[in-house]
Amino acid sequence: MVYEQVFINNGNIYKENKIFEGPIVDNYIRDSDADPIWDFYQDTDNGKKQYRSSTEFRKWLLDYNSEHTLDYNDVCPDITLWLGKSYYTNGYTEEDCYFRVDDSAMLQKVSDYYSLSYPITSEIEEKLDNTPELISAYKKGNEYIVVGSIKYLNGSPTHLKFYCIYKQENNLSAFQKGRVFENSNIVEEGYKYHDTEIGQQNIVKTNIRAFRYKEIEGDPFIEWEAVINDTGEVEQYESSKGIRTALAHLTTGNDYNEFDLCPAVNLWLGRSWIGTNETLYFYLESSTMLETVATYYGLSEPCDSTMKAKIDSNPEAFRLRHYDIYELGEGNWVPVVVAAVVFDNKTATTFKLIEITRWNE
Amino acid sequence: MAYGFEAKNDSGKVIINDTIENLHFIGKATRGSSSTGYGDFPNYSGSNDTLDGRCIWTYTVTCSGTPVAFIKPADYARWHAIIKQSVSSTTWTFEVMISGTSTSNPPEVYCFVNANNVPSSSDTHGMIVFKSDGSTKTFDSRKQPLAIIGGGNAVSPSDPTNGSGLPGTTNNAAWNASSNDHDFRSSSQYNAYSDSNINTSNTMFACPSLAQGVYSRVINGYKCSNHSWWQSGCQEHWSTAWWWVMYRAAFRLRSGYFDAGWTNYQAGFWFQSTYSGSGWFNGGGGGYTSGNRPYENKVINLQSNAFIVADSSRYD
Repeated sequence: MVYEQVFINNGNIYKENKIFEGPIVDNYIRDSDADPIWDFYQDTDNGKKQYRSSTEFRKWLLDYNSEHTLDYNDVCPDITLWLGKSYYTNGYTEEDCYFRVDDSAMLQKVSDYYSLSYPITSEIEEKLDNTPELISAYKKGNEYIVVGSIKYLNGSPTHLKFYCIYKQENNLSAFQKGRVFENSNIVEEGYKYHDTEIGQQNIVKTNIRAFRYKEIEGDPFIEWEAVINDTGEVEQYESSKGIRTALAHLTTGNDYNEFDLCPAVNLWLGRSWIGTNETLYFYLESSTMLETVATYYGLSEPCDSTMKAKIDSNPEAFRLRHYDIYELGEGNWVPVVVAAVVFDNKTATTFKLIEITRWNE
Repeated sequence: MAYGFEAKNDSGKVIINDTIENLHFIGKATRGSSSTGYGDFPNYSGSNDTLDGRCIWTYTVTCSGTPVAFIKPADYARWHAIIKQSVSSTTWTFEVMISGTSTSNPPEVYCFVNANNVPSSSDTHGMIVFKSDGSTKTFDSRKQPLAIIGGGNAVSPSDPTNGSGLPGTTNNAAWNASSNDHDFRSSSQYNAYSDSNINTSNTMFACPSLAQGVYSRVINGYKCSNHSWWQSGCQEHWSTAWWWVMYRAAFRLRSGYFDAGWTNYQAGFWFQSTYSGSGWFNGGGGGYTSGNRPYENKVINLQSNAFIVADSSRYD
């Protein structure tokens, strides 16, 4: 899934990021003191690349008052808002000057001014002029900013770049992908979305349902419930005593002794339920554990041998997230793979494996 | 005093006259129920979990006037304090806090009241000293007067915690960091006041527990992953672990010493873990409250207070 494309020279792709399709080179390092908007820097082969937003952009986006000066070399008079620039602190003479692309006419003037190739095709031009919200990088109220930049080498402009940040629909930007395996089939597949308009990340749409997360109180790790859009049903969640103790040294929570618990499972993570239909989630440590659990409950294994091998060789590819469940400190956190047993009236009925993929994986 | 009765000690100090109201023993308060706890942080199981613990016993005594209560420890190794004194009609209630969680060896509370409020006696012999009004008693030999054998001024240390320095806040720890690194016990935090009259057999004491404090250790965890050029790709994780303890000033009698220190009265552990937009079936983080932290970090009412000691065996 294409997430970001940078165009030069009438539609040539200068850079492209595809999400959920394998590793993305992610050399941006977070630095909260770096800049109020661009709070990161980049480690590149040429050194450390810094980003500085302009006074005007800070005012526009954050209503933040600051006074600093950025040198934009030769300033095109048609650019209405300079966003900032990137440069190297080691003296390497490459820099980018970022600006707001108001429309295709303005972009053409910039191209002419610097004598640089117009960057986009008519197809992208149509989006720029009619639905900029689908390719914009920033939004404030009903205003969208589509980003362009002029790349300089040794003080001379070399490329006019145009950035497309794609949204899938209605300002929704997918950032996590999930697949649920059951009986060697994918029974549910979908995405978790960031709503770029309202700034929330609580929307999940799959092939069989859509739901949003509603915040509630009372649990140290799961402070929400899932409201299923079509039916209005609410799936409630709780973290287990086991995970609370492992992560937070808490002694509260449910240990699920009322269930027939497979003794091979070392860490039950939590429970979700709708009526008498309850799901217990656990940390799947290996394919051997998967086989043991399936045998114990007399249920089909959720995935095939290829996936089972992947659980052992690359648990990162499935992980809910990394947790320091063994208190080994940073660098030794465990990629927690989640599997689940569904119980109906305390009788195990289904064995599931859940695969989670990040946007850059 | 133009005429009347006056008794002085060897130092010339007035012991009995018509203006000084002597305190007289009216009996031991009746011990009632107890509550015990806080031998460790509630709902927490990690490092530095242990606290001194406390047991609170309730005692009652009925009398007119305001009684002065002396604590006679049964276990002199433990810290004691009267943390609350209230009255309903003529029934006085004392809450006596003792360090540790054991309900064994509760102390006894000896009560004294001014002579005029001493219950009437059927004894027909003795000496009563009245004020100049001729009716208000300042001394009544039929009830045992309070005999003070020692005393002084005492104050607890400003830091109630055994840990090095006062506990504080750490930011940018690992996400979900939840190991307490501060020793909140108070066993080594006391000031010792020499008094050769004190023994650990029958000495009792009276000293107000006015000072109280509350301190917290806060660890804020943070993790940022999958950061991207554009805003939506960054996933931030936050956590807060928060241990707090409320203390009351408490006292201990050692042979030759009066110690002014602290005992934990209440404690709690609070933890929450949150993250920006989370995963496939995660909506966000949460919070869990384990007790309400009553005050900001501080000690209040920390000032030198008088303590007096007496020999309980005189009244047994």
